[in-house]
Amino acid sequence: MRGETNRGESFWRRLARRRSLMQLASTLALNSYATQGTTRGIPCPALNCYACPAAAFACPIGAIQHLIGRRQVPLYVLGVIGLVGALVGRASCGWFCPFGWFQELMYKLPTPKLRLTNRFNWTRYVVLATLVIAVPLVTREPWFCKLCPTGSLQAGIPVVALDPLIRDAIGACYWIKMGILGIFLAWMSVTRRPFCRWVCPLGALWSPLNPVSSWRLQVDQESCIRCHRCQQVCPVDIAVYQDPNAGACIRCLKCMGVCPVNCISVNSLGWSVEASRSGDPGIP
Amino acid sequence: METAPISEPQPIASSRSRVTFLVNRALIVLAVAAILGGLLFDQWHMVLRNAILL
Repeated sequence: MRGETNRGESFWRRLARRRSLMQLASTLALNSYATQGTTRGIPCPALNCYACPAAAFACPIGAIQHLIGRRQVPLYVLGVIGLVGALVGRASCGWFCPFGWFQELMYKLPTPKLRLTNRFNWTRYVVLATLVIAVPLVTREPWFCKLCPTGSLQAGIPVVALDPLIRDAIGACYWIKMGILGIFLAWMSVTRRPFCRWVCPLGALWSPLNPVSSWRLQVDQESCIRCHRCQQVCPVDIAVYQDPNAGACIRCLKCMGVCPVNCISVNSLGWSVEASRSGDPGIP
Repeated sequence: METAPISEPQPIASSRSRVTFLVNRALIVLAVAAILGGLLFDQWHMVLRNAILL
């Protein structure tokens, strides 16, 4: 029995080691250009700017603002976000989000590092409530998009570089956006995933679903030796041994890779083949 | 070819786990219902049109 569990864990560990390949593949797939005539109506499970000339899917946050601006309840987009969140929690942030991956790459730069606690990470809910919901509802303008550093990086810079007409038309708003991007570039080189932890409204939508998602982590508290290695490698700095399904967790599985006693495992809340065969719902 | 093993399903431990399971399944049903509701209001086209115009 224990052998089976260990084989399972080694699969997840191996998968976690290839996470950057998944992030690369996701970035290419979300910006594959070819299918954008039809697939751009589908919100992608990541913060990927759909003003990017190569974007193949819609940005869920941009789509929410657009529908709210049209005085519609964004049922379709919230449904897609809710379905992804209910199935895998914030795993999309860790495995598919191009901007999340970019932040991880920036953090690898040889700069002094600053460790910040998650004490003020409620700020992403403020961003969600104001810039994504309230302000677009009143002004009918997608104000989060106007300030979003992902948009600056994926759309602002390439569009201005490629189109001389737009280059001639840029104004103060563009430079404000570039300034915000510059601040985040500096911040993400010294702190792990600052945009995900304190700003991202998509993460704010998914965070409450983490504790009830199908794909989840569990910690064997009896085996855990409280060595804190999981927290040391965690890209969002959570104490995995205390709350393995915390709202901030992006399911990157780095914690599994460093745990010296293998006390962290993945549970699928009743979706496993073995569970359905045996009639056991597989609830932890 | 290697299949994706998942940690061994464990027996139902507590009523809290049962609640988590039920909330999870309710959320999935709600999310699918929301998607269908949005499609009924043609929101897919609204999102697509906006995305293409950007």
